[in-house]
Amino acid sequence: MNHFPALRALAAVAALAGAALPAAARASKADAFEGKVQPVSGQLYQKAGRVEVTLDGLLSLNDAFFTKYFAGVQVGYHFSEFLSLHGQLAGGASAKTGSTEVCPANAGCHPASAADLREVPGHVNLIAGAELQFSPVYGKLNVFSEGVAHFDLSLLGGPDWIRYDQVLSASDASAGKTPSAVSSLGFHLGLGARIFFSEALALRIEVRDYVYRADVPSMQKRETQNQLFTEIGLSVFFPFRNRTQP
Amino acid sequence: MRLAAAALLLAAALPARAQLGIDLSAPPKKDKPAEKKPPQQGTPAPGVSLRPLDLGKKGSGAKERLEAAKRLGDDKAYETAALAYDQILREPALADGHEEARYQLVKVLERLGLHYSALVELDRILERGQGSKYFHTAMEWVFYVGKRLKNEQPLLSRVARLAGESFPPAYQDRYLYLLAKYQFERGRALQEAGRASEARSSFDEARRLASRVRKEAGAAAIPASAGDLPAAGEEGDTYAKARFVDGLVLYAEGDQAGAAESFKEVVRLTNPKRNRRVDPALRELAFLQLARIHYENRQNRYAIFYYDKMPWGGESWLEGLWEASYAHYRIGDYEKALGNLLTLQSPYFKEEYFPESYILKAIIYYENCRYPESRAILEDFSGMFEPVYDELQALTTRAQPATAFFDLIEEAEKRPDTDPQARLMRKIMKLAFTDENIKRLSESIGEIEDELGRKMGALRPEFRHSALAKDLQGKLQEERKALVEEGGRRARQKLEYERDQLRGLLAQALRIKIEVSRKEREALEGSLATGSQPEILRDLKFSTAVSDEHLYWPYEGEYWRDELGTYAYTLTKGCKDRPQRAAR
Repeated sequence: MNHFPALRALAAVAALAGAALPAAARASKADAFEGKVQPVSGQLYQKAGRVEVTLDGLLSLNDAFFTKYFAGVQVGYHFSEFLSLHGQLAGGASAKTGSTEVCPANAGCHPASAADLREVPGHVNLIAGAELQFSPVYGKLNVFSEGVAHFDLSLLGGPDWIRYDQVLSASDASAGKTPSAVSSLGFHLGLGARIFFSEALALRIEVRDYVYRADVPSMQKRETQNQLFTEIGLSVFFPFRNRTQP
Repeated sequence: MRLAAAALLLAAALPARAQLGIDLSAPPKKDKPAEKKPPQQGTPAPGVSLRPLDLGKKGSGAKERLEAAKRLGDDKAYETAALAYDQILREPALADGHEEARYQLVKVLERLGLHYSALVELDRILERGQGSKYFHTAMEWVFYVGKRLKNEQPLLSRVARLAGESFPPAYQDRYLYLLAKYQFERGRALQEAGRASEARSSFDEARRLASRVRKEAGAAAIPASAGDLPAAGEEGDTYAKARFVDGLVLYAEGDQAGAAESFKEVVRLTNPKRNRRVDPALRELAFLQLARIHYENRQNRYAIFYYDKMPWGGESWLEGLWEASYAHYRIGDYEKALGNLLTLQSPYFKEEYFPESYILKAIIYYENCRYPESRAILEDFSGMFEPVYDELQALTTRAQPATAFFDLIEEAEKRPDTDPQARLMRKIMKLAFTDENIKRLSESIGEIEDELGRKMGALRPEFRHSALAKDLQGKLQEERKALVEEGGRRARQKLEYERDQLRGLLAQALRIKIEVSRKEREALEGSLATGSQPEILRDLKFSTAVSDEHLYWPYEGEYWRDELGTYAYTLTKGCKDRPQRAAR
């Protein structure tokens, strides 16, 4: 037992992550052993040299027109405790959000029709991408003085192939034309966290911003789209046990 | 079982004898101070000028040649200036300028960062005694140069040689303290040699000298931005250091109460709230010595109080943590004793040498009727330390010169970490370095080697190939050789001592194993007699509740640096007949 704060983490590579992290999640206070011994030894949950397979669910957060409900799978390899490369495939359904109201100048507001929604972007169907993760922070959290939750925090980003429904012009939409599926190359940036349950199992929580460009005929230009997704998933690590450290 | 208190004097910064030049004959008693101007102070230049070599016009008078050399120094052409002074020294016709040339050479060498070379030249001035007009200034320069070295042993050896001389007032307190320390060392050496009465007079002299250090020495705080400029005083609190030496002398004379009072005074003097120079290392040592005195007198709770006062992560913190385990064991606080051992045996300190910690751990388990655990710990201990003992035995019985021990240290450092033999050797060499004297000798050897290699190598070829450089290199090689021999001798003694200690521990481990077997046999016989499994263990009550100021972090096999030293191991099972503990 000791009298240190309830949340403690180490900033193994501080420069980049330090700026992005809250003070509480930085390295424990400077101490007499700093620079002499590692902050953590015999780390309980290790990722280096292991494959991580994640089944996850994604939910869009900020789209005014479509709420996306995706399921996905991620496969990644951890080169070290800090660096990993992942591939992801996620797809699913999009539903109209509750806020899709059309308010013409000469009439009262009414919910957007299916034709109206064909004129707006954001109807994403499928995302496939690669991702580099940098996990500089490994920490533990005291849970009601009864248990300990181990976690890591990551910065992530990478290129994506995004497939979505083509955005139609007003005339095509009102004519009842069915939009075809088109795709764009884009990228995403995000923040992620893992909460470890065991050496083989972890909960992943991530927030990503997918950025791509799509033609929007009503705007008469190609527009940059930001699709913010939150993601929760269960990771399984292979092999099931930590790699033996040399 | 090693008594922590027995280490009290060993840990008290004993210097190497050869380096100290401890003289066991009666010392002269003259130490009257003399008023003298402080040395010319200056900051060594970070780099050296590459001005062309112009050593002054040959055939000029000494005064002109000295002036020319000084101008080179003023222009920061230190290498050229050094060669110019050396040339003056080599010309018998310029004998009237030799004294000043040598003094100026010291300054220039110091500005080149060649501290040991400067000391070589200072020794030459000091050898002439009061006959040299630069004698007193040279003494001041000895302090100045000494402050720039990693440890004070080269300074101490020179102070000891100059024991009868009067010292400049600005350095008087430090001089008295160093001399007191020297007399303490001398007294210890005499005591070990069985010359009790001479040892006593040496101790008395040490106390007399220590008592003459003024309370003002260390009273003023040195500004943090002292920079490179040499201060007349020194870092740390000289008065508190003198009180510390006083405590050591009293302890060596058997006056433990008096020693404790002296150490308490050191603690008061080094309190950061007092407006005196900060000296955390000395404060830590004072706490350690106080803890050891109380431990020796079986005042275990007092001992624990002082061990707990030692700053976390300090130089002697781990040693204190280990010794505190015994104090906790003595009062039956097995949880804290085992918790401390968890820190000691953590991967952070895998190269530290605390073999006895396994024995203590085994004893605690044994006393709690946890025989299988005790046996497993002892087997681990034997597996780990029998090869160490074999290696120590081979090392210490092999016919080889003392210097070979230092070669072993270097070899152990160079071999890859993956090599198990190298890891073992590193552990053994680390063990040798637990002797402060060996550590300091090694530091000095390293500094001389650095001066001979890197520092001189960075100077201009004209300097490197000069007669002056060759002369200095020759002297430094000689000094290095003497230090290596002394270090090797001490390393051998230390390793022999540790070999015998380890043999004792291995024998002790065997005795405990036999005792464990006896208890297990008794239990088996009991079960045969009654026809049922005897119950020797019962669940102990425990709680993870902690005070509002603490948080409970369960240990799960992962070590966090900032948790070191805070562990308490929960014993969940203990002897059936052990009194019920209140939940805590």
